Amino acid sequence: MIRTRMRDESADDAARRRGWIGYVWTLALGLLLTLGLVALYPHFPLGRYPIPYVLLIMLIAYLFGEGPAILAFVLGTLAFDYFFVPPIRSLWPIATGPSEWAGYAAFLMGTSIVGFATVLMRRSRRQIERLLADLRRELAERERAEEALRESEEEQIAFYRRTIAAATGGKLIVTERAEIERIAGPAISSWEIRTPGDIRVIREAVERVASDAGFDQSRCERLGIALGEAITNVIKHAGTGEASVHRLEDGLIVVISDHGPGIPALALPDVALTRGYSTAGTLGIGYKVMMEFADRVYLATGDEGTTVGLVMMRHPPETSLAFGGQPTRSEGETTP
Amino acid sequence: MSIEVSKGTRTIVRATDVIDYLNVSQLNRALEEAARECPQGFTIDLSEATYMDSAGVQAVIYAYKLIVPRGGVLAVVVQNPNTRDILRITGVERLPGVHLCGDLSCAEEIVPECRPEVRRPDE
Repeated sequence: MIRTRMRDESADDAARRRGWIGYVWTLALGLLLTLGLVALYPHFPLGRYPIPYVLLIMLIAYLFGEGPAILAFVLGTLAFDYFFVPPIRSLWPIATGPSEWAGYAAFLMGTSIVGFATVLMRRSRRQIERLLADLRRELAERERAEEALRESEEEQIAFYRRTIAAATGGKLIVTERAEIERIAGPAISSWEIRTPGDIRVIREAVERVASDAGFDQSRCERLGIALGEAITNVIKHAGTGEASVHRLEDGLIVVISDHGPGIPALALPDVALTRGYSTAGTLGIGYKVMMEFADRVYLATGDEGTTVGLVMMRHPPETSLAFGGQPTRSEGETTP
Repeated sequence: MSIEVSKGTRTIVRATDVIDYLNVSQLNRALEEAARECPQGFTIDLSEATYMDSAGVQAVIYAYKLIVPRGGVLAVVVQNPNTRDILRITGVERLPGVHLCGDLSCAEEIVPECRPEVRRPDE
Protein backbone atom coordinates (compact mmCIF):
# COMPACT_ATOMS: atom_id res chain seq x y z
CA MET A 1 0.00 0.00 0.00
CA ILE A 2 2.76 2.45 1.01
CA ARG A 3 4.77 1.45 -1.99
CA THR A 4 1.79 2.10 -4.28
CA ARG A 5 1.21 5.55 -2.77
CA MET A 6 4.88 6.46 -3.18
CA ARG A 7 4.74 5.31 -6.78
CA ASP A 8 1.65 7.46 -7.36
CA GLU A 9 3.31 10.52 -5.79
CA SER A 10 6.46 10.19 -7.88
CA ALA A 11 4.27 9.75 -10.97
CA ASP A 12 2.47 13.01 -10.09
CA ASP A 13 5.82 14.83 -9.66
CA ALA A 14 6.97 13.54 -13.01
CA ALA A 15 3.70 14.70 -14.61
CA ARG A 16 4.16 18.19 -13.10
CA ARG A 17 7.73 18.39 -14.44
CA ARG A 18 6.54 17.33 -17.85
CA GLY A 19 3.89 20.08 -17.62
CA TRP A 20 6.47 22.89 -17.17
CA ILE A 21 8.58 21.50 -19.93
CA GLY A 22 5.49 21.61 -22.15
CA TYR A 23 5.02 25.34 -21.54
CA VAL A 24 8.68 26.03 -22.27
CA TRP A 25 8.51 23.99 -25.48
CA THR A 26 5.31 25.84 -26.46
CA LEU A 27 6.98 29.22 -26.06
CA ALA A 28 10.08 28.07 -27.94
CA LEU A 29 8.21 26.41 -30.81
CA GLY A 30 5.70 29.28 -31.08
CA LEU A 31 8.51 31.80 -31.28
CA LEU A 32 10.44 29.73 -33.79
CA LEU A 33 7.41 29.21 -36.03
CA THR A 34 6.45 32.89 -35.90
CA LEU A 35 9.99 34.02 -36.70
CA GLY A 36 10.17 31.54 -39.55
CA LEU A 37 6.83 32.66 -41.00
CA VAL A 38 7.77 36.34 -40.63
CA ALA A 39 11.08 35.70 -42.39
CA LEU A 40 9.35 33.83 -45.20
CA TYR A 41 6.43 36.25 -45.49
CA PRO A 42 7.89 38.62 -48.14
CA HIS A 43 8.73 35.67 -50.43
CA PHE A 44 6.18 33.05 -49.42
CA PRO A 45 3.14 34.35 -47.47
CA LEU A 46 2.39 31.08 -45.66
CA GLY A 47 1.63 33.06 -42.49
CA ARG A 48 -1.61 34.27 -43.98
CA TYR A 49 -3.07 30.80 -43.61
CA PRO A 50 -3.96 29.14 -40.32
CA ILE A 51 -2.34 25.79 -41.21
CA PRO A 52 1.11 26.27 -39.55
CA TYR A 53 -0.44 27.34 -36.24
CA VAL A 54 -3.07 24.58 -36.45
CA LEU A 55 -0.28 22.04 -36.85
CA LEU A 56 1.70 23.62 -33.99
CA ILE A 57 -1.32 23.56 -31.65
CA MET A 58 -2.07 20.00 -32.64
CA LEU A 59 1.51 18.98 -31.93
CA ILE A 60 1.59 20.79 -28.57
CA ALA A 61 -1.81 19.44 -27.54
CA TYR A 62 -0.80 15.88 -28.43
CA LEU A 63 2.56 16.04 -26.69
CA PHE A 64 1.86 18.17 -23.62
CA GLY A 65 -1.90 18.36 -23.06
CA GLU A 66 -4.47 21.09 -22.66
CA GLY A 67 -2.48 23.71 -20.68
CA PRO A 68 0.34 24.16 -23.20
CA ALA A 69 -2.25 23.81 -26.00
CA ILE A 70 -4.21 26.80 -24.62
CA LEU A 71 -0.97 28.80 -24.37
CA ALA A 72 -0.12 27.86 -27.97
CA PHE A 73 -3.62 28.89 -29.04
CA VAL A 74 -3.34 32.31 -27.33
CA LEU A 75 0.18 32.95 -28.64
CA GLY A 76 -0.77 31.78 -32.11
CA THR A 77 -3.89 33.98 -32.17
CA LEU A 78 -1.91 37.05 -31.11
CA ALA A 79 0.97 36.33 -33.49
CA PHE A 80 -1.36 35.64 -36.41
CA ASP A 81 -3.24 38.89 -35.77
CA TYR A 82 -0.11 40.92 -35.20
CA PHE A 83 2.04 39.70 -38.05
CA PHE A 84 -0.22 38.33 -40.75
CA VAL A 85 -3.74 39.86 -40.59
CA PRO A 86 -3.91 43.37 -42.03
CA PRO A 87 -3.31 45.84 -40.50
CA ILE A 88 0.11 44.19 -40.16
CA ARG A 89 2.08 44.71 -36.92
CA SER A 90 -0.99 45.81 -35.10
CA LEU A 91 -3.26 43.96 -32.66
CA TRP A 92 -6.15 46.39 -33.07
CA PRO A 93 -8.21 46.57 -35.12
CA ILE A 94 -7.99 42.86 -35.69
CA ALA A 95 -8.94 42.97 -39.37
CA THR A 96 -9.80 45.62 -41.89
CA GLY A 97 -11.96 43.98 -44.50
CA PRO A 98 -14.38 41.05 -44.81
CA SER A 99 -11.79 38.67 -46.32
CA GLU A 100 -9.37 39.40 -43.44
CA TRP A 101 -12.15 38.82 -40.91
CA ALA A 102 -13.01 35.57 -42.68
CA GLY A 103 -9.35 34.50 -42.54
CA TYR A 104 -9.16 35.35 -38.87
CA ALA A 105 -12.40 33.50 -38.13
CA ALA A 106 -11.10 30.47 -40.04
CA PHE A 107 -7.92 30.65 -37.97
CA LEU A 108 -9.88 30.71 -34.68
CA MET A 109 -12.16 27.89 -35.74
CA GLY A 110 -9.39 25.71 -37.18
CA THR A 111 -7.02 26.07 -34.26
CA SER A 112 -9.67 25.69 -31.55
CA ILE A 113 -11.39 22.66 -33.13
CA VAL A 114 -8.14 20.86 -33.91
CA GLY A 115 -6.66 21.72 -30.51
CA PHE A 116 -9.79 20.56 -28.67
CA ALA A 117 -10.01 17.33 -30.68
CA THR A 118 -6.34 16.57 -30.12
CA VAL A 119 -6.67 17.17 -26.36
CA LEU A 120 -9.64 14.81 -26.28
CA MET A 121 -7.73 12.22 -28.27
CA ARG A 122 -4.76 12.53 -25.92
CA ARG A 123 -7.01 12.14 -22.89
CA SER A 124 -8.63 9.07 -24.39
CA ARG A 125 -5.25 7.58 -25.14
CA ARG A 126 -4.06 8.22 -21.60
CA GLN A 127 -7.25 6.76 -20.19
CA ILE A 128 -6.78 3.66 -22.29
CA GLU A 129 -3.14 3.43 -21.18
CA ARG A 130 -4.20 3.75 -17.55
CA LEU A 131 -6.90 1.11 -18.01
CA LEU A 132 -4.41 -1.21 -19.68
CA ALA A 133 -1.90 -0.65 -16.88
CA ASP A 134 -4.60 -1.35 -14.28
CA LEU A 135 -5.63 -4.43 -16.18
CA ARG A 136 -2.05 -5.69 -16.40
CA ARG A 137 -1.57 -5.03 -12.67
CA GLU A 138 -4.82 -6.81 -11.86
CA LEU A 139 -3.89 -9.77 -14.04
CA ALA A 140 -0.48 -10.02 -12.41
CA GLU A 141 -2.07 -9.88 -8.96
CA ARG A 142 -4.60 -12.51 -9.94
CA GLU A 143 -1.88 -14.76 -11.30
CA ARG A 144 0.05 -14.35 -8.05
CA ALA A 145 -3.09 -15.16 -6.04
CA GLU A 146 -3.87 -18.20 -8.19
CA GLU A 147 -0.30 -19.40 -7.85
CA ALA A 148 -0.49 -19.00 -4.06
CA LEU A 149 -3.82 -20.85 -4.01
CA ARG A 150 -2.39 -23.64 -6.15
CA GLU A 151 0.60 -23.99 -3.87
CA SER A 152 -1.66 -23.97 -0.84
CA GLU A 153 -3.90 -26.65 -2.37
CA GLU A 154 -0.90 -28.76 -3.29
CA GLU A 155 0.41 -28.48 0.26
CA GLN A 156 -3.03 -29.34 1.58
CA ILE A 157 -3.29 -32.39 -0.67
CA ALA A 158 0.23 -33.52 0.28
CA PHE A 159 -0.76 -33.15 3.92
CA TYR A 160 -3.93 -35.15 3.33
CA ARG A 161 -1.99 -37.87 1.56
CA ARG A 162 0.46 -38.25 4.43
CA THR A 163 -2.31 -38.08 7.05
CA ILE A 164 -4.56 -40.54 5.22
CA ALA A 165 -1.73 -43.02 4.63
CA ALA A 166 -0.77 -42.80 8.31
CA ALA A 167 -4.35 -42.98 9.61
CA THR A 168 -5.20 -46.03 7.49
CA GLY A 169 -2.00 -47.84 8.29
CA GLY A 170 -0.90 -47.55 4.68
CA LYS A 171 -4.09 -49.14 3.31
CA LEU A 172 -5.26 -46.06 1.40
CA ILE A 173 -2.66 -44.29 -0.69
CA VAL A 174 -3.73 -41.07 -2.38
CA THR A 175 -1.54 -40.64 -5.41
CA GLU A 176 -1.50 -39.75 -9.13
CA ARG A 177 -3.14 -41.74 -11.90
CA ALA A 178 0.20 -42.16 -13.67
CA GLU A 179 1.65 -43.74 -10.53
CA ILE A 180 -1.18 -46.30 -10.38
CA GLU A 181 -0.65 -47.09 -14.06
CA ARG A 182 3.08 -47.46 -13.46
CA ILE A 183 2.49 -49.90 -10.59
CA ALA A 184 -0.12 -51.83 -12.57
CA GLY A 185 1.82 -52.27 -15.81
CA PRO A 186 0.25 -54.19 -18.70
CA ALA A 187 -3.31 -55.47 -18.30
CA ILE A 188 -4.33 -59.13 -18.34
CA SER A 189 -7.92 -58.20 -19.22
CA SER A 190 -9.94 -55.01 -19.43
CA TRP A 191 -13.61 -54.07 -19.59
CA GLU A 192 -15.73 -51.04 -20.24
CA ILE A 193 -18.20 -50.01 -17.54
CA ARG A 194 -21.44 -48.84 -19.11
CA THR A 195 -24.45 -50.19 -17.21
CA PRO A 196 -25.21 -51.40 -13.66
CA GLY A 197 -25.29 -54.93 -15.11
CA ASP A 198 -21.54 -54.64 -15.75
CA ILE A 199 -20.89 -54.61 -11.99
CA ARG A 200 -21.62 -58.31 -11.71
CA VAL A 201 -20.07 -59.30 -15.06
CA ILE A 202 -16.72 -57.64 -14.30
CA ARG A 203 -16.71 -58.74 -10.66
CA GLU A 204 -17.24 -62.39 -11.57
CA ALA A 205 -14.64 -62.20 -14.36
CA VAL A 206 -12.02 -60.77 -11.98
CA GLU A 207 -12.88 -63.39 -9.36
CA ARG A 208 -12.19 -66.06 -12.01
CA VAL A 209 -8.83 -64.43 -12.83
CA ALA A 210 -7.99 -64.41 -9.11
CA SER A 211 -9.04 -68.04 -8.72
CA ASP A 212 -6.88 -69.04 -11.72
CA ALA A 213 -3.99 -67.13 -10.13
CA GLY A 214 -4.21 -69.33 -7.04
CA PHE A 215 -6.27 -67.13 -4.68
CA ASP A 216 -8.44 -69.07 -2.24
CA GLN A 217 -12.21 -68.62 -2.46
CA SER A 218 -12.46 -66.21 0.45
CA ARG A 219 -9.86 -63.86 -1.02
CA CYS A 220 -11.51 -64.07 -4.45
CA GLU A 221 -14.81 -63.03 -2.87
CA ARG A 222 -13.20 -60.23 -0.87
CA LEU A 223 -11.56 -58.86 -4.02
CA GLY A 224 -14.95 -59.13 -5.76
CA ILE A 225 -16.66 -57.13 -3.02
CA ALA A 226 -14.03 -54.37 -3.11
CA LEU A 227 -14.27 -54.28 -6.91
CA GLY A 228 -18.08 -54.15 -6.76
CA GLU A 229 -17.80 -51.03 -4.62
CA ALA A 230 -15.39 -49.35 -7.00
CA ILE A 231 -17.52 -50.09 -10.08
CA THR A 232 -20.68 -49.00 -8.26
CA ASN A 233 -18.98 -45.66 -7.57
CA VAL A 234 -18.21 -45.29 -11.29
CA ILE A 235 -21.85 -45.99 -12.22
CA LYS A 236 -23.19 -43.65 -9.53
CA HIS A 237 -20.84 -40.70 -9.94
CA ALA A 238 -19.51 -40.83 -13.51
CA GLY A 239 -21.91 -43.05 -15.45
CA THR A 240 -19.21 -44.87 -17.42
CA GLY A 241 -15.61 -45.92 -17.01
CA GLU A 242 -13.08 -48.71 -17.48
CA ALA A 243 -11.72 -51.56 -15.41
CA SER A 244 -8.65 -53.72 -15.96
CA VAL A 245 -6.84 -56.41 -14.04
CA HIS A 246 -3.02 -56.61 -13.85
CA ARG A 247 -0.64 -59.15 -12.40
CA LEU A 248 1.72 -58.25 -9.55
CA GLU A 249 4.61 -60.33 -8.25
CA ASP A 250 2.42 -62.27 -5.82
CA GLY A 251 -1.01 -60.84 -6.41
CA LEU A 252 -3.25 -58.74 -8.59
CA ILE A 253 -4.17 -55.11 -8.96
CA VAL A 254 -7.51 -54.12 -10.43
CA VAL A 255 -7.62 -50.58 -11.83
CA ILE A 256 -10.99 -48.85 -12.12
CA SER A 257 -11.15 -45.40 -13.65
CA ASP A 258 -13.71 -42.87 -14.78
CA HIS A 259 -13.90 -39.33 -16.11
CA GLY A 260 -16.40 -38.06 -13.57
CA PRO A 261 -16.13 -34.97 -11.38
CA GLY A 262 -13.68 -36.58 -8.94
CA ILE A 263 -13.64 -36.33 -5.16
CA PRO A 264 -13.07 -32.80 -3.80
CA ALA A 265 -9.80 -32.51 -1.85
CA LEU A 266 -11.68 -31.45 1.26
CA ALA A 267 -13.77 -34.64 1.20
CA LEU A 268 -10.76 -36.98 1.12
CA PRO A 269 -10.34 -37.19 4.91
CA ASP A 270 -14.05 -38.03 5.18
CA VAL A 271 -13.49 -40.93 2.78
CA ALA A 272 -10.65 -42.35 4.79
CA LEU A 273 -11.13 -41.32 8.35
CA THR A 274 -14.86 -41.25 9.16
CA ARG A 275 -15.75 -44.30 11.18
CA GLY A 276 -18.88 -46.26 10.37
CA TYR A 277 -22.17 -45.04 9.04
CA SER A 278 -22.55 -41.28 8.77
CA THR A 279 -25.81 -39.45 8.22
CA ALA A 280 -23.80 -36.63 6.64
CA GLY A 281 -23.25 -38.65 3.51
CA THR A 282 -22.43 -42.06 2.11
CA LEU A 283 -19.22 -41.13 0.34
CA GLY A 284 -17.09 -43.03 2.82
CA ILE A 285 -18.94 -46.34 3.04
CA GLY A 286 -17.78 -47.73 -0.31
CA TYR A 287 -14.17 -46.71 0.32
CA LYS A 288 -14.23 -48.19 3.79
CA VAL A 289 -15.40 -51.50 2.35
CA MET A 290 -12.66 -51.32 -0.30
CA MET A 291 -10.03 -50.61 2.35
CA GLU A 292 -11.26 -53.46 4.51
CA PHE A 293 -11.52 -56.04 1.75
CA ALA A 294 -8.53 -55.19 -0.46
CA ASP A 295 -4.99 -55.32 0.87
CA ARG A 296 -4.28 -51.82 -0.36
CA VAL A 297 -6.24 -49.13 -2.20
CA TYR A 298 -4.62 -46.52 -4.44
CA LEU A 299 -6.75 -43.46 -5.17
CA ALA A 300 -6.08 -40.73 -7.73
CA THR A 301 -8.78 -38.12 -8.09
CA GLY A 302 -9.10 -34.73 -9.70
CA ASP A 303 -10.91 -32.73 -12.36
CA GLU A 304 -10.14 -35.39 -14.99
CA GLY A 305 -11.83 -38.15 -13.01
CA THR A 306 -11.01 -40.82 -10.47
CA THR A 307 -8.78 -43.86 -10.69
CA VAL A 308 -8.79 -46.57 -8.03
CA GLY A 309 -6.23 -49.37 -7.80
CA LEU A 310 -7.26 -52.36 -5.67
CA VAL A 311 -4.31 -54.51 -4.66
CA MET A 312 -4.94 -58.08 -3.53
CA MET A 313 -2.06 -60.38 -2.69
CA ARG A 314 -2.40 -64.15 -3.06
CA HIS A 315 -2.00 -64.59 0.69
CA PRO A 316 -3.12 -62.05 3.28
CA PRO A 317 -0.29 -59.77 4.42
CA GLU A 318 0.49 -60.24 8.13
CA THR A 319 -0.22 -56.57 8.73
CA SER A 320 -1.41 -53.82 6.48
CA LEU A 321 2.20 -52.61 6.31
CA ALA A 322 3.55 -56.04 5.42
CA PHE A 323 4.37 -54.63 2.00
CA GLY A 324 5.27 -51.19 3.19
CA GLY A 325 6.90 -50.44 -0.13
CA GLN A 326 5.01 -50.57 -3.36
CA PRO A 327 3.95 -53.95 -4.74
CA THR A 328 6.01 -55.03 -7.71
CA ARG A 329 5.07 -56.62 -11.00
CA SER A 330 6.12 -60.16 -11.73
CA GLU A 331 9.35 -60.59 -13.68
CA GLY A 332 9.29 -61.19 -17.42
CA GLU A 333 5.70 -60.09 -17.80
CA THR A 334 4.56 -59.09 -21.24
CA THR A 335 1.55 -57.39 -22.65
CA PRO A 336 -1.09 -60.01 -23.48
CA MET B 1 -31.62 -62.11 -6.03
CA SER B 2 -34.90 -63.47 -4.79
CA ILE B 3 -36.85 -61.63 -2.11
CA GLU B 4 -39.61 -62.99 0.02
CA VAL B 5 -41.61 -61.27 2.75
CA SER B 6 -43.17 -63.82 5.10
CA LYS B 7 -45.91 -62.43 7.29
CA GLY B 8 -46.60 -64.68 10.26
CA THR B 9 -46.47 -63.85 13.93
CA ARG B 10 -43.16 -62.30 13.03
CA THR B 11 -42.32 -60.66 9.72
CA ILE B 12 -39.23 -61.86 7.90
CA VAL B 13 -37.69 -60.31 4.78
CA ARG B 14 -35.53 -62.96 3.16
CA ALA B 15 -33.01 -61.96 0.43
CA THR B 16 -30.86 -64.57 -1.27
CA ASP B 17 -27.97 -64.73 -3.73
CA VAL B 18 -26.54 -61.32 -4.77
CA ILE B 19 -27.49 -57.98 -3.20
CA ASP B 20 -25.90 -55.08 -5.03
CA TYR B 21 -26.59 -51.67 -6.57
CA LEU B 22 -28.45 -53.33 -9.45
CA ASN B 23 -31.21 -54.90 -7.37
CA VAL B 24 -31.17 -53.14 -4.02
CA SER B 25 -34.29 -51.11 -4.84
CA GLN B 26 -36.32 -54.37 -4.78
CA LEU B 27 -35.01 -55.07 -1.29
CA ASN B 28 -35.88 -51.52 -0.20
CA ARG B 29 -39.46 -51.99 -1.38
CA ALA B 30 -39.73 -55.27 0.56
CA LEU B 31 -38.38 -53.52 3.67
CA GLU B 32 -40.98 -50.75 3.30
CA GLU B 33 -43.70 -53.39 3.08
CA ALA B 34 -42.39 -55.16 6.17
CA ALA B 35 -42.19 -51.88 8.11
CA ARG B 36 -45.81 -51.12 7.21
CA GLU B 37 -46.84 -54.65 8.15
CA CYS B 38 -45.01 -54.79 11.44
CA PRO B 39 -43.72 -51.46 12.83
CA GLN B 40 -42.65 -53.19 16.08
CA GLY B 41 -39.79 -54.77 14.15
CA PHE B 42 -38.90 -57.55 11.78
CA THR B 43 -36.08 -59.80 10.67
CA ILE B 44 -33.91 -59.33 7.62
CA ASP B 45 -32.68 -62.79 6.74
CA LEU B 46 -29.45 -62.57 4.74
CA SER B 47 -28.29 -66.06 5.60
CA GLU B 48 -28.58 -67.20 2.00
CA ALA B 49 -27.06 -64.04 0.50
CA THR B 50 -23.83 -65.06 -1.21
CA TYR B 51 -22.73 -61.52 -2.02
CA MET B 52 -23.59 -58.20 -0.44
CA ASP B 53 -21.81 -54.88 -0.80
CA SER B 54 -22.49 -51.41 0.60
CA ALA B 55 -25.74 -51.25 -1.37
CA GLY B 56 -27.04 -53.92 1.04
CA VAL B 57 -25.69 -51.91 3.96
CA GLN B 58 -27.66 -48.90 2.73
CA ALA B 59 -30.77 -51.10 2.63
CA VAL B 60 -30.27 -52.20 6.25
CA ILE B 61 -29.75 -48.56 7.25
CA TYR B 62 -32.94 -47.70 5.38
CA ALA B 63 -34.85 -50.33 7.38
CA TYR B 64 -33.29 -48.96 10.58
CA LYS B 65 -34.59 -45.48 9.74
CA LEU B 66 -38.06 -46.86 9.05
CA ILE B 67 -38.33 -48.88 12.26
CA VAL B 68 -36.06 -47.84 15.10
CA PRO B 69 -37.07 -44.15 15.53
CA ARG B 70 -40.65 -45.45 16.09
CA GLY B 71 -39.51 -47.81 18.82
CA GLY B 72 -39.09 -50.93 16.72
CA VAL B 73 -36.21 -53.38 16.58
CA LEU B 74 -34.45 -55.03 13.71
CA ALA B 75 -32.72 -58.42 13.60
CA VAL B 76 -30.33 -59.16 10.74
CA VAL B 77 -29.48 -62.81 10.22
CA VAL B 78 -26.04 -63.15 8.66
CA GLN B 79 -23.93 -66.23 8.06
CA ASN B 80 -21.52 -65.15 5.33
CA PRO B 81 -18.39 -63.83 7.09
CA ASN B 82 -17.83 -61.19 4.40
CA THR B 83 -21.36 -59.84 4.83
CA ARG B 84 -20.86 -59.76 8.59
CA ASP B 85 -17.57 -57.90 8.05
CA ILE B 86 -19.29 -55.27 5.93
CA LEU B 87 -21.95 -54.68 8.58
CA ARG B 88 -19.25 -54.47 11.21
CA ILE B 89 -16.92 -52.03 9.46
CA THR B 90 -19.72 -49.73 8.40
CA GLY B 91 -20.89 -49.55 12.02
CA VAL B 92 -24.33 -51.06 11.38
CA GLU B 93 -23.88 -53.64 14.13
CA ARG B 94 -23.46 -50.79 16.62
CA LEU B 95 -26.68 -49.01 15.67
CA PRO B 96 -29.17 -49.01 18.56
CA GLY B 97 -32.13 -51.30 17.88
CA VAL B 98 -30.22 -53.36 15.31
CA HIS B 99 -29.09 -56.88 16.26
CA LEU B 100 -26.92 -59.21 14.20
CA CYS B 101 -27.83 -62.88 14.57
CA GLY B 102 -26.30 -66.08 13.28
CA ASP B 103 -29.65 -67.85 12.85
CA LEU B 104 -33.40 -67.29 12.89
CA SER B 105 -33.91 -68.59 16.42
CA CYS B 106 -31.73 -65.74 17.72
CA ALA B 107 -33.83 -63.30 15.70
CA GLU B 108 -37.06 -64.72 17.13
CA GLU B 109 -35.86 -63.91 20.65
CA ILE B 110 -35.18 -60.29 19.69
CA VAL B 111 -38.02 -59.33 17.39
CA PRO B 112 -41.43 -59.01 19.10
CA GLU B 113 -44.57 -60.57 17.68
CA CYS B 114 -46.32 -58.53 15.11
CA ARG B 115 -49.55 -56.74 16.06
CA PRO B 116 -51.49 -54.06 14.24
CA GLU B 117 -50.82 -50.46 15.37
CA VAL B 118 -53.54 -49.15 17.74
CA ARG B 119 -54.93 -45.91 16.38
CA ARG B 120 -55.77 -43.22 18.91
CA PRO B 121 -59.24 -41.61 18.62
CA ASP B 122 -57.84 -38.22 17.60
CA GLU B 123 -55.86 -39.70 14.70
